[in-house]
Amino acid sequence: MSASRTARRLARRWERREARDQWVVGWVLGLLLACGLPRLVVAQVSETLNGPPIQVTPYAPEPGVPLIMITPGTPTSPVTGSDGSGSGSGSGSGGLDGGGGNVLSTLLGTSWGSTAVANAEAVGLNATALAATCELESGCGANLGGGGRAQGVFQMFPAAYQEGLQAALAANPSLASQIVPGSGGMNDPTTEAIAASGYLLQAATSLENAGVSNPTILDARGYYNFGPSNAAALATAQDNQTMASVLYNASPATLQKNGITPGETVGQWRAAVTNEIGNAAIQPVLS
Amino acid sequence: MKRFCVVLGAGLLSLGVGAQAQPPRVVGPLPGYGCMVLNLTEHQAMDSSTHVLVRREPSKASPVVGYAPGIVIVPVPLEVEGGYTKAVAPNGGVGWIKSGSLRPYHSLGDPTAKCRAVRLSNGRAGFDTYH
Repeated sequence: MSASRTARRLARRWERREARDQWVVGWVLGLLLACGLPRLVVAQVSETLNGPPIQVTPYAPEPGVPLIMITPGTPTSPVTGSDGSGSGSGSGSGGLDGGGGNVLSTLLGTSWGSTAVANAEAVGLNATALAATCELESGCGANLGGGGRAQGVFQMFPAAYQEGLQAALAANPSLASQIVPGSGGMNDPTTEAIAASGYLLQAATSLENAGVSNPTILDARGYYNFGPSNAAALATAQDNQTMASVLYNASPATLQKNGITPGETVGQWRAAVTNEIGNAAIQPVLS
Repeated sequence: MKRFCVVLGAGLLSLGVGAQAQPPRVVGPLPGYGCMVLNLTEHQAMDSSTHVLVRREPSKASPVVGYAPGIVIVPVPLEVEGGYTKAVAPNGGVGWIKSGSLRPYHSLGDPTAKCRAVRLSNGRAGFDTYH
């Protein structure tokens, strides 16, 4: 085989490869175009700046360079016409990161919040579980009700409060020094936060014993509102089942007192709680 | 093509977006099993100190393997031994619950609801209430 024939053969092979590569590139480009690239391309139209671009503020001045001050928001040239002013109205109910937003921030925003968080962690609880409970019960003190038997920012009943305190002290006896003794403790946020932490700890243990592995804050919410056996059933219920059919021994009056409307489904209840506490709902109760 | 693009987009999104935790879904009926509920008053069910125990064997001396959920899956016909009724334990195995602690399914707040035993996507037995 001569050298020129080999060269021609290699050239033909190269042309074939090039043609194949062009076909592949064309196919991919075609797919991207069909899938919406035109919209992306159209979106890249030139825009008029309304004011100077954001300036990088030097943290160390460069020797010899004059200091230039630019006032943000001052147009460099007059712009006429409309540049997209508009009005909008709407209400949003939060998705996973919306609604209640960061419940931990709400708790930490109170004067007793950081102590409550530290105490929750000291008993092995995910502090977000405590924060979510505080948010749901009273907005961490912002919407405290009154008159009922449930008291304090965590709206605990006396029996649950006592159980919670015992559970928390069993998990960490050193917390005893922070507890306000007697019934006054229910209205002391630090003391009640310890009780609520113990109660949520108890909720996690109870749910695990009932076959709910690694219970979430949403699962614990079922325990806090409806008790241990109902919470275990609720944790494994399907979204389309009615709350009343799962909480089988709750009377219509009790369901109403707990904010459950006739015909409300498990999915609707889950969504309502999630809407208030955001992605805290799917976090585990235990740290 | 539109459907292909949607699938492609969903696939790409799933690479970066975490899914919300969901309870196991129903995959089918569970023949030979049915629902019962705990024989508790409304007040007892709400009381966090009330737990109905599930034992490994039908005996008070047998170890406790867990707490019964409000709605319990049992074999049909019922298997009763020494005052205990056989049930699906919380761990998915066999357990025994005091027969007096169980009664047929009925909902106070949704009286027309019925309950059936189902297989769940996690391989466990579960319940499905329906009308």
